[in-house]
Amino acid sequence: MQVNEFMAMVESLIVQCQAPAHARSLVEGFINGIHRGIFSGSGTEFMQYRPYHQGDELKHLDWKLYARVGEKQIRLYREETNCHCWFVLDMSSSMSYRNNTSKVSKFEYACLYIACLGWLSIKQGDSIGLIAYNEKVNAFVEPGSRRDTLETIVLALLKLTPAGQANHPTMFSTLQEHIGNRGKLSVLSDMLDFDDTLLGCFKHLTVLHHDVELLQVLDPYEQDFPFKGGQQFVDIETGQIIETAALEVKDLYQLRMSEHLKKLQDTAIQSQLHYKLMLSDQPIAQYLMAKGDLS
Amino acid sequence: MTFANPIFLAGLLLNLVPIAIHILGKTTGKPIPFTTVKIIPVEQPKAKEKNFHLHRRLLLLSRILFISLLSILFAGPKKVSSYETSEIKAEVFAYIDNSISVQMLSPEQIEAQVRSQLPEQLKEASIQYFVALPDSEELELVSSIGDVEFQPYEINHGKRIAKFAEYHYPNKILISDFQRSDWENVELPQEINSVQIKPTAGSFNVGILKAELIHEHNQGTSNSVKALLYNSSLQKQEVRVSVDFQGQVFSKDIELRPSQSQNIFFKDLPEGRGEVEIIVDAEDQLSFDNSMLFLIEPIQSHKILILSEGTEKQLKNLYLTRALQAIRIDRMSCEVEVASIHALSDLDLDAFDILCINASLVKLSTADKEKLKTFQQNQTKSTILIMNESFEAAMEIFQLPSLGLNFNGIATYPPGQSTLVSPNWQGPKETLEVNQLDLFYVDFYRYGQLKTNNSNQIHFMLENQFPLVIQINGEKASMLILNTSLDTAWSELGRSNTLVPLFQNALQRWLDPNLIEKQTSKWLKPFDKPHFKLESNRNAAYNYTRKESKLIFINPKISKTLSEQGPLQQHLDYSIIRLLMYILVALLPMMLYLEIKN
Repeated sequence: MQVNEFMAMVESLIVQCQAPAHARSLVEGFINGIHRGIFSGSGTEFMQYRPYHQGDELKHLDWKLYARVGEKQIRLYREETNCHCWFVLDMSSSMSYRNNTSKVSKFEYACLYIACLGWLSIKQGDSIGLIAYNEKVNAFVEPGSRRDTLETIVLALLKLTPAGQANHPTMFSTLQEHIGNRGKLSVLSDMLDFDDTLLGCFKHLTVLHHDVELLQVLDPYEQDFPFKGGQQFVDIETGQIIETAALEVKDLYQLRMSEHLKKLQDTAIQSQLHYKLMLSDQPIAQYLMAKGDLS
Repeated sequence: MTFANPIFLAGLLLNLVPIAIHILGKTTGKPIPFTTVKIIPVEQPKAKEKNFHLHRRLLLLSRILFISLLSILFAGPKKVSSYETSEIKAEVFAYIDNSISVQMLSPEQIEAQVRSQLPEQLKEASIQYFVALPDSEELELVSSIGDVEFQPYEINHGKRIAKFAEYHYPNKILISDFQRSDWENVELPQEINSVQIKPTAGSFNVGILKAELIHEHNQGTSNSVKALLYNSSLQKQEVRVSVDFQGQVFSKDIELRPSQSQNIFFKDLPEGRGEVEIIVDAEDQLSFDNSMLFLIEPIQSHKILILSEGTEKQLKNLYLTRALQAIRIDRMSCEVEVASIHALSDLDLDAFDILCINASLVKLSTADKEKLKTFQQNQTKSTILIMNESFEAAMEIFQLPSLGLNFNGIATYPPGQSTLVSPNWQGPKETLEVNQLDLFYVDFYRYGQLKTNNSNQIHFMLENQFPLVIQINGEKASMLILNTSLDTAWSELGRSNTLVPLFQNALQRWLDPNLIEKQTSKWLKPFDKPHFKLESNRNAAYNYTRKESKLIFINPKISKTLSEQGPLQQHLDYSIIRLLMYILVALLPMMLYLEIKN
């Protein structure tokens, strides 16, 4: 698929869901956006006065006030900043799973979600960046707030193919190098191998005032297990083969799966991480709109 | 059932392949790639469940069906008569030359000669005879020589022998006298032995091979009888042939040449209904039937007079062809005369049954008008009146109200969308859709009831200026009035085909109702399309002769042809093939679906 076609599809999706382009948090940044910075600077919205100290730039001195009251006061403005939104995409081979009836794999679904949310973020002046990884980081795009950045990200996504297993520490080291100060982190993965250690790492990021959102992308078959009869299953990542009577073990499987999801969700809440489950057969607009409601 | 190409049945062995695939194939099917294998609980599938995969069973079934159907289709299933399977128990099969010359011997003599030449072990064997048909290459099967129909025609025995040679029967022989020279060109296959019939002293036969009764309707009627006599002996024979019809006997003496057939005609038999007997007298030299009976049906003859304007020569050209075409009704014969309307005073109208006038009537003299009126008042006469003036003129001349007749039919030609309007209508204004009238004669007429006022002062016309046909029915005769006053082109009606159905309509009233009842429905519909079929060749119409002939064989014993019962005819059984094709077509999508699903 060409970038242009993909972008056209993304835009049509945006139009469908008409998601309001609001960011959710206050972050520090340099580019003017609608996020309100907590530091005063060269913004346009007046915040407060403070007494003039020697060395302050005279251009910030409120001469009218000085003429009226006789006090030298410096005008402080609330600076509007943009936000660094990082998309962290798991591209292990398990993300390539797609059931017979589904149109897209989990990976494609995640890519589409990134493109849509990226488009929205660019629209409101935020910067977006990408880290896609399996054993190593396969795609890295520095945050940028121009449309070019989105196209770079989309181009990178289109070239990626899920393979191998996910090496989370490698991703974290890369992330920590570049993530800088406050920002927003959207982690898209099936999170089948997420453990407490990994979630602890993400918790560490929240301590550093990062807004971490865990987006678990699952195929409906992974949740429902709608198989019948004696079947052989081969693990996409490990190649492990098991044979089982699918219909008989269906209930047990669903129980295990729901336990896994519950555990993940509980841990995320405890760690002050935002958690959301996305099924790849659901309209993507549904999740984008839910995101809009959050702000 | 047999097969045209049984070798293709070997294709059924290919069914082993899908069976092997089914048996050896993994019971659990292809491994399914999945992600959460770690948390899938392992439970051994039940043995029963392992084997039970409905779609796999269906797939196997559909594969087997597919291969089997294709094999059978390629093999070409054939029908086989019951004859081959059970009934024939004969030990000798003979192809008998059924030319006339073989009849010089009686059936018993032929059989005796055949048996004398058979080998010892077959002398008492039963014999089945195959004979050639004159108009088909099929062979006919008969069980005794007495049932053999001997043919006067030249038959190409070479082709029939070749066909006979293809039959898989033991002890095949050929019976013939080998008198014809063309036997020299026939190659006799090795497996067929020839048996020659030889004439004995004084063996000969004379008789009627067939006879035909011929009705010729060509400007008159004649009944003729044509008989085909044959002489199968080796010497000349003098015979007397007599035809007895209605008490009159017509005789002819002829000399029949040896081994030849000869036609004899008895022409101009009197008209009427009755039996015709043909008798051949050959001084006790006959061993076959020598007489036969026919039933001659009466032929109706009518005289038609066509009156129009113009010279007689012009009128002949204009009308005669169409008139002759019109009389193509079975057993109906007509003499047609054409005359100028101006010569009406010199004509004797009583000599004619049907009068067709296509001329202006208003200019006629009073005497002529009276003559026409008198003709029409005869309840057994019919008039076809094609007027160039108003309908009221006809009313005046023929005094229609005084005849006590009602207008009981109107029609247009050609039938079409038009409204009938009557300007002089005294009652409430109404128009009649011609198309809504009675549709009994769909092809030509559309009849309907038409009311008139008390004074009968009506004038009809059609909005689209099509001619209006009004039929007035008398006790036996009818009067057809075609009002064409609005269209001068209709004065040349004689050239158009419209005249034909008008004549036929007039003629059909003369048909004997007793005869009509015996005939098919065709008789009741003289406007049936076959009668309308017009010949483009005028001469053909002039010389048109209708023949009714009946073919009667001397030995009318019915023997079944091979196509009905024959043992050797194997036809591709298209009913089975069609059924197989249907199943195959229905099977294909199911098989494709299962293949994809698998």
